[in-house]
Order: sequence, then C-alpha cells, then structure tokens
Amino acid sequence: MEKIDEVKALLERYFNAETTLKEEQILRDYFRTDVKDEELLAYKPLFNCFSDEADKIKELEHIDTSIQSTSLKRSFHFRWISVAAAAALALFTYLIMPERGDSLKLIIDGVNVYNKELAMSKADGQMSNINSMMGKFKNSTAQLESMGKVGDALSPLRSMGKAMTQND
Amino acid sequence: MTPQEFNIVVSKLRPRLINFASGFVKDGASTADDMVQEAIIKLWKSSELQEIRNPEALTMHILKNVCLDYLKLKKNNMDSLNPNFHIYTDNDPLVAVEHKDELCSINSYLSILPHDQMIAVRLRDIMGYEMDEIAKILGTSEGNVRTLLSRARQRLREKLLANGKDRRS
Repeated sequence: MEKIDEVKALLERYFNAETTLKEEQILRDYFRTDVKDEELLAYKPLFNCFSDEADKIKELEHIDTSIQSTSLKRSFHFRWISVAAAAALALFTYLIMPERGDSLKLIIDGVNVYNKELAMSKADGQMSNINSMMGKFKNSTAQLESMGKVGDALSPLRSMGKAMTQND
Repeated sequence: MTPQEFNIVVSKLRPRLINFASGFVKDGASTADDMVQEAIIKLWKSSELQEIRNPEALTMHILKNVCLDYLKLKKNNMDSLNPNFHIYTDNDPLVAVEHKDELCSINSYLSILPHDQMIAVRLRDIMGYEMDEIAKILGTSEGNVRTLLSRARQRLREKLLANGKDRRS
C-alpha cells in the first residue's frame, strides 16, 4: 500500500511538472509492472508508451555507437601501426650501424670509407676513368665526322643520278 | 569542426532526431528522414560560421523549426486542396477503435496537444532532457518549460481519465 501512495504522490508532482528525471523513471518502472489499482491503471498506457518509445531510441543509439566505436578503434590501430613501423625502422638502423653517427658516410665499390683523403683519391681515380672514357668518345666522333665528309662528297653524284633518271 | 567530427556528432544524434521528427509526420519515415537531413544541412551551414558550443541543443532547435515549418506548409497546402481532409475528433469512430484496442501510439496521445506542448512532452518524457536543455532547445525560460509541460500533462491526464470512464461504462 505504501508503494501505491508513494506513486500517487509522485504522479501529482509529475502532472505539475515538478518531478526530476529520476522520479519520472521510477514512475515509468512502476507502470511497467502489473498495476492493480483502478485509479492508477488509467495512466498505464501513457507511461508504457513513453517507455517503449524511449527504449526504441536507446536501442538505435546503442547500435549506432557500437558501429562508431568499432570504426574508431580500427582507425586508431592503423594510426599507431605507422608510428610503430617508423620507430622500428629507426631502432633497426641504429642497431645495424651504431658507431657511425657523426663520421663521414661514404661507400665506394661496396667499401666503407672513413678517411677523407682516401675518399678524395678514390674520387679522383673515378673522375680520371670518366675522362678517359670521354676521350674515347671524342675519337669515335672524329671518325664519324670523316664519314660525314665522304657523304658530302657523294651528294653531287646523287643529284646527277637523279637528273639522269628524270631524263629517262 | 572538421567534417569527420561533424559526422560523428550527427550520427550519434540521428536516432533521436528521427524519432523527434517522426512525431510530426504521419506519412512515413522517409519524410522524417528528409526533415532530419534538412536540419543537418542547416547545422552544417551554421557550423561554418561559428564554433558550436552545444551541438545537440542547436540541432534539436533547428529540427524543431524545420518540423514546425513543415506543419505550416502542410496546413497551407493540404487542408485547402484536399476536399476529403478530415479532422479527427473525440467522436471519430477510428479514434474510438484505436482507444478501445489500446493501440499504443504515442502520436494519438500527443495529437491532442498544441505543438509547443507536444514538443515539450516529447523532449522530456521520451528523450529524457533536463529542463534547462529543453529551455535551450525551445529558446525560452525554464519556468516557461515547466508551465508548458504541466499544462500538457494535465491535458493528457484529463484525456486518459475520460477514456478510463468510457471503458468502464
């Protein structure tokens, strides 16, 4: 009986819009149960309608947030995978070449060179190689030039040949 | 607000928005969807202009205006054009059948209320907003919201008690 009196008092406050959200929840919960009081029975459909409708929204929101949280989690993982990959790469290079942080870095013919002068001499050697190659190239172009001269000398003969065929 | 943040906010709100809009329309969920879409577009436009402090209240406020516009438009267009338009009254047989069957349709309860009262009841009793949030959405004071709400609930009470008597007699 006490419960019914409490609900009736809450109902009065509800209809005067004086109840808090918590108290309104108590009312909705009460009307979900098997109400026997004749006077209170009249309000049952209204409160049940409110509860049903609120449940529908909550259900939809729950579906929505679960979809969202999984997609967020996935993108979060991807973001951290790239950071982890970069960190692993940095660590790897450090482990492979630990003591060469500040010195001259030069690799010639697959040999690591630390001495500056040795590097310069090796570079000179390479440059002279290239120079000699350029010299050979020059020689071959000179030969081509002489071939060109022969072509020039032949051109009057070719024009004569043309003239002869036209006359035919 | 970046488009991604905006999408997250909007998708979180969407079920509530759809529910709210569907309280205004009788011709199916697609119209409610359209109204929500219109409100979201308006929200996006306003988010370009200013930083939104309370996106939920602003969205509900915009949607409320969209819904009221829809009702006005519908009244202007449909009532005069449709000769079969029918105003449902308490004596209507269809309504009587609905009540007899205790068809649980929140719209049948709320349809007897003026729009502002109906909105107040929806926001409070279904969506569970606090008084100050409802005041923000409706653009009015908390005291005014309480008045709206108590008037609406009293009317619902009268209706329920009258139905109860009918059923018993």
